[in-house]
Amino acid sequence: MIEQLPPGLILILGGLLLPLVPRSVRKIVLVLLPALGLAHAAVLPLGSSLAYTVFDYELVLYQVDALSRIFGIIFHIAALLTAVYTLHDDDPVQQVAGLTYSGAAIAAAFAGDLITLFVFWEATAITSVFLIWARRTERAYATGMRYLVVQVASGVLLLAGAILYFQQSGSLSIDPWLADGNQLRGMFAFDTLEQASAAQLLILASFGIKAAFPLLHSWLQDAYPEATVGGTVWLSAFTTKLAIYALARCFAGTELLIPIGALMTAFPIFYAVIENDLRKVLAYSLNNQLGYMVVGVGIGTQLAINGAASHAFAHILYKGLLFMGMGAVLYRAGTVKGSELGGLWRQMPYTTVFTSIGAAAISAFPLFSGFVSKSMILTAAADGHYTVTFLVLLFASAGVFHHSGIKIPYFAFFAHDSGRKVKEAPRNMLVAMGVASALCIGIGVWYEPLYALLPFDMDVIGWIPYDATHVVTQLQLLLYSAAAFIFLQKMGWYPPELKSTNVDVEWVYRKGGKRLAVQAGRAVDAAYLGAREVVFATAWRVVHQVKVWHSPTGLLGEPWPIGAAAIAAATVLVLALGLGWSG
Amino acid sequence: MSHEHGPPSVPLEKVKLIVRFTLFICAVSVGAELFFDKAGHVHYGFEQIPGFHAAYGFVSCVLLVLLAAQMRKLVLRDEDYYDRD
Repeated sequence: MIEQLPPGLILILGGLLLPLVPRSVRKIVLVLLPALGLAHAAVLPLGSSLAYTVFDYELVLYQVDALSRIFGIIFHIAALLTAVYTLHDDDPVQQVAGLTYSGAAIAAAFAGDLITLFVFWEATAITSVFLIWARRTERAYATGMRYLVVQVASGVLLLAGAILYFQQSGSLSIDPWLADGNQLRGMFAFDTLEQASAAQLLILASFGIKAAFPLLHSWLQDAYPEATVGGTVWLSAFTTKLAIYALARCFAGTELLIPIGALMTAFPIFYAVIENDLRKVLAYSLNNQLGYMVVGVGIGTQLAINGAASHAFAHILYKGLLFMGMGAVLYRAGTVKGSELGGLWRQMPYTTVFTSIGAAAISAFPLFSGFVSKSMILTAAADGHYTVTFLVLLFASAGVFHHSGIKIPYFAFFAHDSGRKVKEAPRNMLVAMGVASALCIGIGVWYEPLYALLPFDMDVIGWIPYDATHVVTQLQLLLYSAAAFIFLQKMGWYPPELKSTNVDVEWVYRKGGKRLAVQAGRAVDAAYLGAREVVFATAWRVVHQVKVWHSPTGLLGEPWPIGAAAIAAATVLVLALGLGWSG
Repeated sequence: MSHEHGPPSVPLEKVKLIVRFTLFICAVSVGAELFFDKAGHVHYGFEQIPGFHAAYGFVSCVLLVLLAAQMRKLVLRDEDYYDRD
């Protein structure tokens, strides 16, 4: 019975039916659904699957292996925590959107073929946009439309790639990794761009959009800060990590992903340092964290894939926690602009503590979750002799502490007193943040249960997170980042939080593209007017000429004698006869 | 400092104490290297230089912030930049 029920379906169907549930019990159902789903995903045995047939095509609605299971479990935990976090908000649009969105992401992570993946891939786009629109402002509407266009485009690329792949191979199934010792290879992995087929490139572009590859990233920083308080927490967990899952599944061992991932870890942190909207800072930092996972997928060894999967797991929790903290600030203070905040620690002490725990976890302090996951990827990079990548990741690790670890708590809760009088976050938010904090510390201290969920046995790989060197060197990296912060503040070199917008790639379509479109429109307009002029003038001349010919004194206006008409008719007949003969 | 719109939210003596404590554990973290050997536990030769990670973290962050501040000249616009035509 349990195996007849695909993971994610409980959340999708439950979410769709939620508005029919009486209001008094709706909140209970909202929390119960992800809890049920989690129990279901946890007990589904490895190897179980469910096939179905559509138009003679054998499709696989779900298949469970260690990789889909770990993503399925963390997606359910994220849905559960976010459901609790949003309990104070009685907005059925967000409740339905949140549940169906998380359900679609879970279903996509378990999909056994490319068409099923495509269907749920697009479903995540269509359901999640309502979390932005639910803010019900004109700005959010426009942002939502831009978000939707990008997300749907990703799905279209996936479908195009899947069709091409089907033409070449006659198969739609998502195949397991090929293993060569420790090294893994996803079904779409390629060595050089020249060797890659169009299908591989289309699917990589599709995954790359959702994973926010450099230059394809700006939908993330555009959309996430514009969603509702709870909406951003929902969004932060699923779309990008689904893309990481899909990359790990299909492109493990594609070396091209290593420089792409390294770039992703480095460039967003520059924006994070100067960004004023603290939820946007977190969106940039999310992008940076995805970079580590993409590097791990690109390296593609057992340790690297374990690193990517465990980092995704830890990241969903601490990033959700940080977005929860900033969401609570937005909810209570009405803003998350660094320039308008400061000194909230007195009024929101619990939120301050929980956000700081999230900050410590993302910074990978020993005893926090980021420490036991991220370092696997750095070790894998060093093992593969990717020295430059290793140094970039180390740089980004120091930078993460700087902008997420220090900047977020500092400007929201400390710094100068903004004089705002606010209340502590609602109790349901505190519960969600408290549990997320406990998990961030719990995983950091007692990491074995997480490691047990990973695709490859960590005992066999022989890697442990805690040894004196690793702890001390990581502490040095982080503490001296803090020292740098103190130094820069003392020198007055730290850039102030400014009311501002920092232009990124989105400029291309929000300003440049708009300008281009306006100019193109003007050119079309001018061309139309010019053409109309020519056509009208010509038509006018023709009409005038015809009028002249038909006037009483004109060529055709004069009466013709019968003789002339007879000659004309005879000429036509002779011509016809001649044509008949020659034919 | 950035927030000129209010007094410091943490009393200055406490800030000084926090700063001193941070600098103290910074020193401890480097001093700790005297008590064990990094060789065999780090990946690269350059990581064996005493205090390498400390220096790397400090320099990284100073460069990050100074470069980002310069980047503002290129990317900074008014808050309503995208709302205007």
